[in-house]
Amino acid sequence: MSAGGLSLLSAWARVFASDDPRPEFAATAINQVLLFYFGTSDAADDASIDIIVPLVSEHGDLVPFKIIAPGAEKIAVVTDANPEPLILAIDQIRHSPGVIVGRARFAQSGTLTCYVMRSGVLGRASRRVAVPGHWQEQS
Amino acid sequence: MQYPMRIKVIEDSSGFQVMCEILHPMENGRRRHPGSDKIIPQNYITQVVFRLNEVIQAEILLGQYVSANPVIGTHFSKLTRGDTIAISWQDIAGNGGSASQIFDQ
Repeated sequence: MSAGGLSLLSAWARVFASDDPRPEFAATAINQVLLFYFGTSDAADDASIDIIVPLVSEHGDLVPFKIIAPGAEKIAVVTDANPEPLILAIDQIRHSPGVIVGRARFAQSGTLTCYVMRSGVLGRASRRVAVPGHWQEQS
Repeated sequence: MQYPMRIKVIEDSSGFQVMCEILHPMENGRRRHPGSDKIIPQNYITQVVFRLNEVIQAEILLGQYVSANPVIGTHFSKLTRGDTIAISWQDIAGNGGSASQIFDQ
């Protein structure tokens, strides 16, 4: 069995131990989320994806975001701030640009990343979000 | 259990933003009752479907990290007077709901 196959198998083992029956939502690594939801984890930076999110959110329980992705077929919104990265995903998009508006919970400061599938190619864009109590050091 | 919801349509430069707000606790199973040590059971919305004149326009899958009383929205490029916008949802506990609105702007 290949290394990729082994990794997917171990991901499945962890998924079965989780509460959410959907593997993409129970996955604990962003790569696993992408494999389960898009079937690939090869993504390139995409400047056409627009993420509107506050730089500092007043409360980690309520981080508003808006994502605009022209020509999107599927969108997944993930963060490294939570134990399970996938916040929400949108499928069967019939209008362009693909837009998703929502409000997320962040357990700590982290990066909101949006993955967009269009014509079989996976693109990505990210924004950093700070939440109270988890201030970032200045670089 | 009944969870109220409402639909809002906002016109923007490229079409219409269709939003819904569902008054749902979105419990992620990690919180405890205040004053006791009991964990509040998981109960969060897993799916929201947007329909226009009975045709699915977008299917949104939600996880446990969406805020309580979620506001979820997407984009419709065209709406004409008399179109019916319907939004339905279901949660992990088996509850569900729907609302519809006739576009009259």
